[in-house]
Amino acid sequence: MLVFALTLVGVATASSALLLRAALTLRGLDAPHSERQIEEAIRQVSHYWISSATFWVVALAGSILTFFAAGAGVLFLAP
Amino acid sequence: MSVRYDIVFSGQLLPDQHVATVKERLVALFRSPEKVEALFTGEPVLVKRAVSGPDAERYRAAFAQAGAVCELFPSASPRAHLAPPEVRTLPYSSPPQKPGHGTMTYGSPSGDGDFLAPTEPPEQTSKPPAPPTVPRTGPLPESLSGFVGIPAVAQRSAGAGAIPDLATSATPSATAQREAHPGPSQATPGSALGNVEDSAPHPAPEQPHVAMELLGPNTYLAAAVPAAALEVAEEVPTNAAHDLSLPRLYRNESGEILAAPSLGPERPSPGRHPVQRSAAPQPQHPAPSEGAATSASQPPERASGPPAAPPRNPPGVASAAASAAIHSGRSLREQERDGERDHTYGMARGIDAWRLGMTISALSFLLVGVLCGCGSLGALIQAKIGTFLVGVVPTALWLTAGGVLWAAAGSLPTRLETATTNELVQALENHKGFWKIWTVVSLVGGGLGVVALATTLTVGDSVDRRSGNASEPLVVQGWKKDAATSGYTVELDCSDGTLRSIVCELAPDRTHTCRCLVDGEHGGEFVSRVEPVGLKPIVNWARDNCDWPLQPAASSNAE
Repeated sequence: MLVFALTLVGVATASSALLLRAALTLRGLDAPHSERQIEEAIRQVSHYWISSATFWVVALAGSILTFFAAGAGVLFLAP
Repeated sequence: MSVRYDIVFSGQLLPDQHVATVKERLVALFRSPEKVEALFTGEPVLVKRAVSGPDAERYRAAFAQAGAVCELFPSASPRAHLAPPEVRTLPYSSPPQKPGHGTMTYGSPSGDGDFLAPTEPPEQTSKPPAPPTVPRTGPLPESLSGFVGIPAVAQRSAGAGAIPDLATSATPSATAQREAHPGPSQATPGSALGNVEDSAPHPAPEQPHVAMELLGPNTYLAAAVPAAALEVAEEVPTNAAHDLSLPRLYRNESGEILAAPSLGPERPSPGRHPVQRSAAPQPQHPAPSEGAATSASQPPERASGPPAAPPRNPPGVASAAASAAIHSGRSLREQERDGERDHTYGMARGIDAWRLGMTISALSFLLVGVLCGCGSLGALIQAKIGTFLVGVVPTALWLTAGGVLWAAAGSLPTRLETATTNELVQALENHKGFWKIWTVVSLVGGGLGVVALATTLTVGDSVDRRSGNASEPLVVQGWKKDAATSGYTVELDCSDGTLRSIVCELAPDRTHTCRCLVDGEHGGEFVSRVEPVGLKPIVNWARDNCDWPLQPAASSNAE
């Protein structure tokens, strides 16, 4: 449980940092920019979101797999 | 700063609407027949200046309810009307002065460099037009209250005829028109046509900067306007400037409308390259000279019949350079079919990935919320109220954050296959307000969720352990018993770091009144008729009477 919590905290922190960068990038669109720059901004924002989502998926999948693996270990390996 | 719009009525009616009926409705709307008549001069009339987006939509809805179609144009920055032009005449057709201010605007399509860097103006390809010397007379008539209108435009343009497509400027008739008016000029950026007294020189565009201004929903003018600006910059030799509030109108020195592209379709006809499109014959509106007679003599006809089918090609795109710069009118599907991908394609693909990331993140948030909820529910079933109550908070926060994020992902445009650049940027602009709210909510909510989760794992479990509801057994790592004539005390050093004591006092009836203490805090009381001896009897005795899930350590000395 502690590992799960720490994982969540770590992922949430990393995700928040990425999304903050995405927000700052999007905020830059307040200024006039070219199509190419807007495209680049969207690409960066999407990159941040994909990275954040990847963190979450890996963390959750890892936590769930660890949970089940630990349960299986206790079930089958414990005396 | 939110985008403000100028509301312009050009006499266009909805299909199957009769002008008389529409006029009656508009009279009921404006409560002034004179005002309504002023609308149907056959020329664009500025109904209201610099209104907010919701108000502009209300205007549009009111006109639509009356059977007419009004057009929304991004206001030329209200500051431009109120302040000296040098303060702010951006963003239309001028290099951006300072990044980070103003509304989102397309700059030059050829702009390079870092996204957050200022847009570098492209190399100047034509001589910048001299400051306009448009003679403007009379302040804006305010007699039409409710209108901020530009009857001067209507009056002048009544003799100028119907507004031709700017593309016709390349036609012989347009050439003749220019010859007839050798000194064409346009209104000053940031000024309303005909309503500014001064003729002070305003800074003219320094370069043919192709700019796109966000318009109202379903209003796609941007591609036409910048191209028109380019066209004028190239073909109108002197005194050329453009009007920010009504960029479609281009007038000569005498104030007559020289050329003005009508609203084009949102995108060009499929399968046609922009350059080909520009080289192809454009659907022509009447030339200015022809339109003058047409419009002056038959203004009602323009309004009475169903609106003419919009031209298939964006008006004003008459040069290869301009059309090559304005790729945004081509949808993603068209680009893929033609094997040509421009920035619209990159934006659409980026938003696709963006939505995917948001959706996956939202699902992750919801999954974490569900897991927290299951934990809280399990605690409730086991009557662990402390864990349940503390666990409810992160559950709610995670589920809320996931739901909001899911909605945010849904707010991104989904019609990428048929989206144009303007639609994508419009959606992006709409998303930004939502984005800011979500950023604050998610950061605060996420932080609170993490704190609450940590609290759940520490405080909640501690509360339950103190109340005897801890799920994991406490191992007694050490123990001590002090006996006295008045009673005895048992101290247990437990694996959770607590020191649990049972203090028993001899009662007159030879029983013992015992108090359960956790780190000195009272945790219950019971009456014991026995005095346990040895670790295991003491552990069993304490577990039964104090509800502590104790178990002796395997290596503990039984004595």
